[in-house]
Amino acid sequence: MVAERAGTSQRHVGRARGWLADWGPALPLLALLGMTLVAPIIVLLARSIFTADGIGLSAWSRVLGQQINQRAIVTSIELGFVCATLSALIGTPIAWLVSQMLAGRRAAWLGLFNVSAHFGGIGLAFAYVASLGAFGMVTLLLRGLGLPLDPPSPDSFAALVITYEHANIPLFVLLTVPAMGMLRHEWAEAAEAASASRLQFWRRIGLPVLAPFIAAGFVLSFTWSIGIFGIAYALVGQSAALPVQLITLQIGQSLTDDAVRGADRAAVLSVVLMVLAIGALLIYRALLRRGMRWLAAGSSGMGSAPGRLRPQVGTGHRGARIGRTLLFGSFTLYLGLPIAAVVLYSVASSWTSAALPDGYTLRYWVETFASSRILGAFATSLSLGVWTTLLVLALTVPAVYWARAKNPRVRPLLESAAAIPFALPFVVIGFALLQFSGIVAPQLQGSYALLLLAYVAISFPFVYWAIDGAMAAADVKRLSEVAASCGASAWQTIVKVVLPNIRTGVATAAMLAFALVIGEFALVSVLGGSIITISVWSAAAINATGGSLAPLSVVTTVVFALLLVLSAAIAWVNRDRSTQGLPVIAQTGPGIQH
Amino acid sequence: MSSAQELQRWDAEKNNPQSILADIGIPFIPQATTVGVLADYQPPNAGLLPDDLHGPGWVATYVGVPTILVNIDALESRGLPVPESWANLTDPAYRQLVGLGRIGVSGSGTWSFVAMNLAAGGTLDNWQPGIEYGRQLLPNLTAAASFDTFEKGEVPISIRYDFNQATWFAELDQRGVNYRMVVPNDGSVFSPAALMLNRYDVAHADFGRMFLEWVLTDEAQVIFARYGARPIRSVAGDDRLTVPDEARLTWLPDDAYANVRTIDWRQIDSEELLDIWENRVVGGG
Repeated sequence: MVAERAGTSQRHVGRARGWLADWGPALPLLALLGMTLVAPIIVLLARSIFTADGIGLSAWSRVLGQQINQRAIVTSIELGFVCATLSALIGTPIAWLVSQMLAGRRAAWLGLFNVSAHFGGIGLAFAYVASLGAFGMVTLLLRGLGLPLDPPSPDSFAALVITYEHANIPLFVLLTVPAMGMLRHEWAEAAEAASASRLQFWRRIGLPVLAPFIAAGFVLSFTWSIGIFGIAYALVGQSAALPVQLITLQIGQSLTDDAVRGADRAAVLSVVLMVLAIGALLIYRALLRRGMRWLAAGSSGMGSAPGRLRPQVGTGHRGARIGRTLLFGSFTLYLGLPIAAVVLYSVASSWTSAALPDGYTLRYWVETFASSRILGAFATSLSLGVWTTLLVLALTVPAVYWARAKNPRVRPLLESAAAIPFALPFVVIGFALLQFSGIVAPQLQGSYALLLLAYVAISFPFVYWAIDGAMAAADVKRLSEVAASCGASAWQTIVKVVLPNIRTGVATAAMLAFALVIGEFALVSVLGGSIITISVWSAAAINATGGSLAPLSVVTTVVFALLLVLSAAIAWVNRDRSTQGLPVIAQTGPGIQH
Repeated sequence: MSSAQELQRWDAEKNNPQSILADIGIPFIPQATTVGVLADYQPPNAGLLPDDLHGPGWVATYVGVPTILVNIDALESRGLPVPESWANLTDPAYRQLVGLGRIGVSGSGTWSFVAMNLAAGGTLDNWQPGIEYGRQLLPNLTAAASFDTFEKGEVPISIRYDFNQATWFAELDQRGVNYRMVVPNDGSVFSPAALMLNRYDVAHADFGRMFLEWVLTDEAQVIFARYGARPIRSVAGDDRLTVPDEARLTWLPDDAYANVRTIDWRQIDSEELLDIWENRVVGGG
């Protein structure tokens, strides 16, 4: 009897040990993701039902009954549709043309799109003001040319679309270029042999094959657009007229402006936004599955270099060439002018009427770098960026290795966790975490540590996809089997065999995580308490009633330069691989959801 | 930071308080009391003020008046006249030229709406005239002016407290901008601001209490005057306080304030005005 019991407990211990051996290295990451993403979202759902008035749907009926909230939901959906439609209409031809370019030119364009996709948030909002505001560079230029064109006011729906698309279209292109490789060279030849016209080829073969991917890009563009907070906050958030009402803005403003009933409203609207985002994600997955059926038959993977339909590009007839030049020329202006305006703003001594400043000065640069407040904000952002990067790598690399080499059951958990920050707007994640921390660890609220953990959680998907892709390419399972048969310990295997083989993936992941934190605004504004990052400082500066916008132009220029360097570094590190696109969702980067 | 944001932040940071004291528009006091962020303390000299100007954890400090600051050059270049009243501001010619803080969120925005409602014929119990006025004003509104947007003429009409407007005068003079501060001839209201004491910041409670007492002293009240804000004690009719002439340099002459009324602020609740503005003015229903 006693022996039997001892046996049972030994079996328990053994089982626990076995379980730990199966899951061990993945546990810290899974625990963190559970605490920062999964549990908070469950609390959020509960929070919309357990309100100050008691349990029930009273908060729902009150919030959804108010016109302003109804309007916010409708406007957010409209904004999402308009942005997604424009992304698809403009992005698809660009993606196609880029996919047909020679490797060098293609890399240059993709590099440019990468930078644009990373540059978002408050800086981008300011770029709109500096270029298309009432005294923006482009506005003054148009006026100087005598054109009676007044660009949309910065707090209008149109201004939001123009600003959102600045990052959205490049993202769309980055995601769909690889899918363009689906169109096989042989199909075009076969169609031509059957004397089909180009139009017929596109209508019957090209578009039907690409359609699911274009639609998937459309859905992602929609999801990102409805989830953006920072740009909307900076452009329309402080206007008494509340000219554009959006779900994200209402959530953010409920939290900052209404200490009595704000949390109820934020909870209900967060759940609404979450339902929209999850619905979009499911559609996205279904579309990709549908699109991939052509792959099953073919041999070339999506990750491979896009196939080129015609051996020579640029030989198209003249009209096509002019059209192409116009498309790329105007798109480059659209991407470049706002940045140029910001840079010029930072060195303009006075700028009132002409397209270029009246005079130049470095005064604002000197003043900005003498300001301890701004330097402090930079220091905070950089330290958050570095710590987030170190932590997320330290947690993710072992977990992904374990999923790939030892225990495949880890993988679905990682995939699901990665989908959360990818699909859910950061303002929702921030609010959920605020509620959850209020219950389990109120003393953490407003602390650097909580913000850091939140950043680790939201940067996780981008790091995960980069690392996972690198481990797949390096075939770490086989590597670790070989290492094991040579007698290497698990630790030796990771440090001496796996890491050297995935270093480009690690470098890419690190830069993505860092860039994400530098530009992030939604989480820090909800969770950050009194922490002043560059985004927080910039948002205050763009809405300040006191000073000048010149220091903001300096700060925005610096942030842009930083992202430029990071993007160039990412492109350089990955110069030997083709871009990865929709299916693996990798390297979409932090242009998302500022 | 606006009044509403200030008190929300105190509530959010209750476990880790980051500030001891904050200025707040007096219509936000009921909300601060409901949320429970105010310390249970009144300074011994609170009796210098009438009963409705102090309470547990707060004392009124100074008074602003919502006024209209106008960039005359910018309006002239558009061929527009200088508005003299709240009523003038609804002229469609001023489309997107009027900068105003958020009603029910910022102190000055909230007080301005109170003044507008009274000017439109409303009372503190009847907001309907203000609601109708607000709907007409909406297309003309844009975000509160910054010095830059005002100076360049992007937002040539700025509605804020008189003492806030006054902080720009020197720089505007220096840059040769032709401006004028208008006290609307259809009336404005004396708008007290208060200093509130954070009950959660126990570590600095002594300093906070001392400071709450100090702001009511002659010394502090004259300092407020120098910054262009009327000291609460002189507005409340306390003749023990004398404000020297050198401290009134930025003030408009008293007769410019002939149409400015004192109202019973206790009938105003920022929370209610936020709801009215969002759902009945902007929401339109």
